[in-house]
Amino acid sequence: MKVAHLIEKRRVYWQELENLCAQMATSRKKTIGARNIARFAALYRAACADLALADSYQLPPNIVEYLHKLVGRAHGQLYRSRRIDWAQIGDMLLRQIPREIFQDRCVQLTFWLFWAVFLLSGFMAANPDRFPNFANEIVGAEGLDQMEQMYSQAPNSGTPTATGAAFYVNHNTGIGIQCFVVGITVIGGLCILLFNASYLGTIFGHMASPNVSEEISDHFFEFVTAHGPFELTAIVLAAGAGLRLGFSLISPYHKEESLYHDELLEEETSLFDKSRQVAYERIDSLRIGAKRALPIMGASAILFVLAAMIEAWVSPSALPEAAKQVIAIIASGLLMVYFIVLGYPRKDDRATR
Amino acid sequence: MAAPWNTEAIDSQFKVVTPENIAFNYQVAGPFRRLVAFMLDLFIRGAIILAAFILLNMLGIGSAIANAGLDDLLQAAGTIAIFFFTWFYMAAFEYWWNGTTPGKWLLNLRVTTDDGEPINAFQSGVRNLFRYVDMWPLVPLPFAWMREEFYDGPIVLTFLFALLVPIFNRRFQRIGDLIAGTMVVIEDRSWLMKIAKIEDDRARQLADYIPPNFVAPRSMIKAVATYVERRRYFTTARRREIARHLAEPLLEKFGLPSDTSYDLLLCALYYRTFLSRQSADGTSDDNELLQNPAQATTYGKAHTPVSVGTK
Repeated sequence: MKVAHLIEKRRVYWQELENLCAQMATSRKKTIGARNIARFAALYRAACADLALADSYQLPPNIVEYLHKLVGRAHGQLYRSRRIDWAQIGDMLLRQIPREIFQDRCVQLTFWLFWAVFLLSGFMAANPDRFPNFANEIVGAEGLDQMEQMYSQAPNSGTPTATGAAFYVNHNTGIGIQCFVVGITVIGGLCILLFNASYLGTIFGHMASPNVSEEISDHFFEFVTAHGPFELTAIVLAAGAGLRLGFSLISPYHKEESLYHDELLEEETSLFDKSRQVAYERIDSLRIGAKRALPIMGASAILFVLAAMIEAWVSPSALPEAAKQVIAIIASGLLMVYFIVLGYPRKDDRATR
Repeated sequence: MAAPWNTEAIDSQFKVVTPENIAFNYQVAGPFRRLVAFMLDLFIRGAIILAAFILLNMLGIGSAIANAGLDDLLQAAGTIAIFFFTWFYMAAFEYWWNGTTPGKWLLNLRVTTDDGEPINAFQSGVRNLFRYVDMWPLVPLPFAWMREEFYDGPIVLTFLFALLVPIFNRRFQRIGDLIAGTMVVIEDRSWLMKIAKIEDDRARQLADYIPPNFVAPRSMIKAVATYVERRRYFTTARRREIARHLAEPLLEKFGLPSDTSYDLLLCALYYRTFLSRQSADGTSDDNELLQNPAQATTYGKAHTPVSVGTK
């Protein structure tokens, strides 16, 4: 009774392993106990050995299939998803991400594109004598009317609410994430970016134009000053991160010096020429692009949340306009420090890679 | 003999080599099983929102909180909760629950990396952010009467990308999966099937007539085992029809009378291979086969088996 006898003997262990798997899937690691974990390891090794032997000893196929599934299940419990390393987050946020952003060509591109279009459409909308229909073409007459109505009352007449803060977080970050995700189709990402730039620029320009009464334009600028720097920067960053994804899909070349050690192809390392381009398969290139883009998106999300908080608590509050301007100046200063002081490339930057 | 085509691609099995240097197979999950899991998750989210709504509005807890002056906070918490539900429900579960969400857990699905390893927070985040792309292309319905001033009318989420992209790669990966380097596998909690019992005495007797030096090749053993374990689902005529292809040449080879039951011969071969003392490949060292690493535990003695619920 050789094979049947063997299986009968092992069945007990396999079922014990199955029970332990079920137990580990539902309860926390601490409550299982060291004894059971050690037992689990032993049983897992035994099942691995059984699987290895199963084929050579010609066990029936359904037993082999069962062992495959059992080992797979135990493997999934043994190697669980890794926890976030919180200690590393600070280092990433204050050292790696700003440098990444400072050097990222895609963020540079979206930065210049956004501000060029923003300023241009602002300028055109602010001079209705020379470009009489511009604002109407971009935003539409109803949109402009609505904006003017919205700011007909002083912003400090409303009261700041937590509901408002939550709404802004939800709404703005949602738009940011969409902007990032759509960036994978380069054209779509650029379209959204340019649309936002021209739309916002036109509204800013229109509010500054002589078509709008002084009172309304004062209200508008008082409302948007405080959260403007964070929000506009966040849009630029989200679009840049999305574009990085799209470009890494279109062009699978990466500069060797911008690659981490584990991303370099084995035979591709060169001692002398660090500025070479390394070609990847598109899917690997996309993965590398995603690895670069996600931290940028994270920074953008943080900025969106900060902007939403200011927009909800400071902008509509009764603070004097000067205070809001000070906040805007502080915010811009913080951004400069973050991107330029922290982000400026250092000599030792490459050595750590 | 190796097949001329890639069999892995055909039966959607994916081989994983563990650090213990054992290779085992995962089955990659197809789009439709995952669609059901996705719908379940959607349903669970809807149910939770509905439950919260009932709790707050119907049972008067909401008005009680509002009376306490916390109306504003309550609304804010609701909005933030909806924000997290929309964007991070899946990612959070996949991170905490080791690659499953409630819907996936119910359908025995699990997310792993391309190499069969567990996913990390980064990967679960990325693969779920890109669910937005899966809904593409978004098609607005062309009904003018549905359009209002600031409302573009109903938009149909076609989910075409979610169906098309997995077709073009081997592991049925969505766009998010491709970017994050993950795949979804079926983690079956199947039960152990017993070895088929051969009750028929004639089969055992027939086994003695099989030449003792006959060693069946591996593929034949596989075929015989698959047949014998399933033969109880077949009628007699069907058994005969299926078994004939293998049994006829064997009868000729063993020099047995050609009117022997084909079914019986395969049962006899099965008995000879798996159940009789005489082993198929001639090895008889029971010691090597029967020693078990699980018996030699760290505590020096064998344990009583652990049952569920023992802490």
